[in-house]
Amino acid sequence: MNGRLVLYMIGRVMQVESVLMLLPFITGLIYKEGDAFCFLIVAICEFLVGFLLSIKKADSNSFHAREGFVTVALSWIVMSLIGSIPFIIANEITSPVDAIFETVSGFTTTGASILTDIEAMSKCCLFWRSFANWVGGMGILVFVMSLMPLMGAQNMYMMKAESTGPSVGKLVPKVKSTAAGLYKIYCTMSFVLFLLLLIGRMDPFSALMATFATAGTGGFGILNTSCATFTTYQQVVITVFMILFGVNFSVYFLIITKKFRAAFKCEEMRWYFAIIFAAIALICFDLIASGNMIGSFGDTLNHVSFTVGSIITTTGFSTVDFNQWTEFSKNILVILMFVGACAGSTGGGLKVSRMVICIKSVSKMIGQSLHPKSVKIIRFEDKPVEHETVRSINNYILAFIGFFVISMMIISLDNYSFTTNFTAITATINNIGPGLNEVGPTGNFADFSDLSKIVMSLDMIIGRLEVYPILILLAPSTYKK
Amino acid sequence: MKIIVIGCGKIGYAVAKSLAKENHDVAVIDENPKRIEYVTNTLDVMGVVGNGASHRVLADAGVESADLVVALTHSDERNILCSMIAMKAGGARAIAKVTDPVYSEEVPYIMEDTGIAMLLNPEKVTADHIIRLLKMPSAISIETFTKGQAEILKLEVPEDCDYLNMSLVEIMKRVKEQVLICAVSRDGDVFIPGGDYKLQAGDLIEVLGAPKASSAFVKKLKVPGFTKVRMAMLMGASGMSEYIATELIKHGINVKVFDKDESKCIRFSQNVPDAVVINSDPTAVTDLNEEGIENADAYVAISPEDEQNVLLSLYASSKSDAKVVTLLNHENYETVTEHLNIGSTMSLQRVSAGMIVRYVRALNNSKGSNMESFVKMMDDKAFAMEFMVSESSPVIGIPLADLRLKRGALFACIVRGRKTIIPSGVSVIEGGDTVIVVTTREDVMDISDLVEE
Repeated sequence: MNGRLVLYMIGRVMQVESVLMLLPFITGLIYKEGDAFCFLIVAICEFLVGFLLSIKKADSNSFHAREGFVTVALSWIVMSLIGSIPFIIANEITSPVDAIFETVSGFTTTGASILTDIEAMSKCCLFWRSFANWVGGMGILVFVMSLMPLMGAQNMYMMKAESTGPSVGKLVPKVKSTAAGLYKIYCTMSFVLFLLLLIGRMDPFSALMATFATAGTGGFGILNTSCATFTTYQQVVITVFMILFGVNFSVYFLIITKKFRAAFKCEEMRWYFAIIFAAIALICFDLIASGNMIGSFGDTLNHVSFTVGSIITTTGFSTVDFNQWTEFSKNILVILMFVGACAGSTGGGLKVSRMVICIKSVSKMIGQSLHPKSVKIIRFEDKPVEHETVRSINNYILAFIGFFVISMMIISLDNYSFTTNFTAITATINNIGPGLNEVGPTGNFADFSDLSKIVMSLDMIIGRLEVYPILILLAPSTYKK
Repeated sequence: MKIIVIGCGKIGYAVAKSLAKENHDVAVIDENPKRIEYVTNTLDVMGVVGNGASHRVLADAGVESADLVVALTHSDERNILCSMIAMKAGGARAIAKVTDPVYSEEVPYIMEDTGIAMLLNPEKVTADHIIRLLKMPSAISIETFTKGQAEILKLEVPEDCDYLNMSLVEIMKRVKEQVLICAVSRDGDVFIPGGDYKLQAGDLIEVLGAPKASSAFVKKLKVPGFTKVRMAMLMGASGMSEYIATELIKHGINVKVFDKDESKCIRFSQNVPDAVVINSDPTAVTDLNEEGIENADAYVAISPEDEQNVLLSLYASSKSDAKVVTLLNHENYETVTEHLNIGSTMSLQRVSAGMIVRYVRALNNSKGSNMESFVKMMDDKAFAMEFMVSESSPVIGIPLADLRLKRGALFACIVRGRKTIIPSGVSVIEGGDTVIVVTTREDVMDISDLVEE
């Protein structure tokens, strides 16, 4: 374990975070808020510490998978802990555990909140919350890599650890250009969304915050009612963009390089859209059939699409209280929470590709039971899937369920209903935000005990980094010589 | 440049590694997903799994915008096919590895009809390296420039050298040969020597000059092993040893080849009738002794098994003063065997990667500057580059003493027509000259990069 180099990397990440923290400081200056200086102080201190950590580059350049995982896991933890300090010294969130929960929720693009009155918060704090969504969406280390020439090939380990999905590849030969390419796509799409919201007569600050939260599929709102008071146009724009940010970014890369056919053929994207349309159709039908229409048919369609888009991409915005819907519709939503968005997107969840490969492997098993000696290869994206990949997906899901069960046991000590507990963990470990009942769109996570909040904070990081980095960080054998 | 490497065996890996290190955008294609996984984890390159002769796979690797495709799979035919499809798909240049001597003999014919820019035969180029070493046994390695008009020899300064502790200026006065010590490695530090550099025993030096001058210099320096090779022993009857044996026999050198495989021996004997072919396992030392290993002047262990090569070379070094050359195919063995007495080491992948990097450098520069070739020396810590100086170059017409050179750079040699000149302070570079530059700087792309602004 090359601890020196890991520390160096974390130092770099801290420096980047401190620079990013100047943005809420500037926001605070613009709105003449005293809280702004809390960000400045924290930024300066963090920069100095980061500088001290990275002042001496490690003697050995040996950086392998374990260093990659540990760096990513520690970076996210450090980043969240430091990111929560301004909230505490600005006295916007009094309890440290609450502040950490809120920041983790921001960076992991969960969007679960412990705030009961969001609107009471200062603008710079609101900015920092939403901005965390945006940064966390594509990943902080990917950001660092796109800026700094670090160590060449070894970066791939970090990219793999931080990016989502069962198999992470590069878009172009160099890690640095791949990272930069991803951020270019991300920034361009965010900017278009911002413009469209401005055109829809949203005030610039709200539009920017909505853009951050949508692009990162985070879901931090700046209103207590989330997106309920937005105009239909604004809601439709956000729906479309939530869904777009949930698409595998390699599709956009193919579009940029004018390989439209290959982009259109992306199997994961097709499944993703199929699931979205099926879910919208089923819920609309169910709401109409059970007489629970929300206004006109058009309105119903709008709200249902918004909700489905928000849940499957794990954004977590809401326009209506879907907690009031029928059990069937709520069930569909909970299933969508697990499916999640595409691999290589900013969304969370188990990812469509994992689900599809899982289903295909089950169907392969059925085939093999019927024809015991048959040989069948699972294909995905028109390519054979390695047995190793299938196995790692199965293990991933097992580990995921393991964390899920343990977390649920711990938070059930707070004695809420089963639905609340189940969906609270679902919503945090899949980085969604709202669940059902107490943690539904109108509720929040404020009343949980500190222990539960810490468990859920960990769950959010586990979900965002897809289990393994945290598992490896905690495994004692990682540090053995 | 954008470069696609097809086939990621040992050679493919070495090529991808050197090219990625030179900051090119490299994509590798291999049919083995595990191999691709390994390569993308250890090098900053993009991996594509599939058959490199398939247009779709090539397109995934970005063939449309690629500048060069290097086909290095195990099959010659597939390499040629890969190259042709890649050229058709994107207009890239192509290099194909072709090992079978049947094809190698028809290189000009194949190149003309297919448009392939270079047919690389790793065994042949490695054999060429080994032959050069055997002709000049005192050298640890030899690199040639301007079609053989100048060469750089790597030597180790012997204990009984007459010029120990003399400054470079003094040595040159006494030696009276047109040569230049252009790089020195002392205890791992590599530097370009100034006039006050004093020779020490054990220094590794790179000597530049015309072949005649440098061999005279080697003699005066008393580097051991400067006896003409009369008998050479080759371990392993492969294509490579055929190349070496044929060339050595042409120079009147007696060649004995050992291989335990009878069919290989028979084929070797058919192709190289004048060689003495011995069908025996060389590790059974008795036959080596019987054939007179202590009388051998050169001993070349080039069997496919590294371990056997190392062992046999160790044995040969203990038995005789022969020039020993050892082939190491496993990349990591070079560090392992660093301190073993196994003479000069060679590896197919290092030589091949060197050739391709040399080609790419020249290609890169034919766009802007005019680097003709590029050679790494002293464990890649120093570089020798050959430039064609154009009429418009800023270095023309100025005495070298008046050019403000950057640190760690040296105008080592000027080749004008058929003359090889070791320049002094009053020398002037003219348009049309070929200049060899030695530098420890990594950022040199053009001759003007050497001069302070």
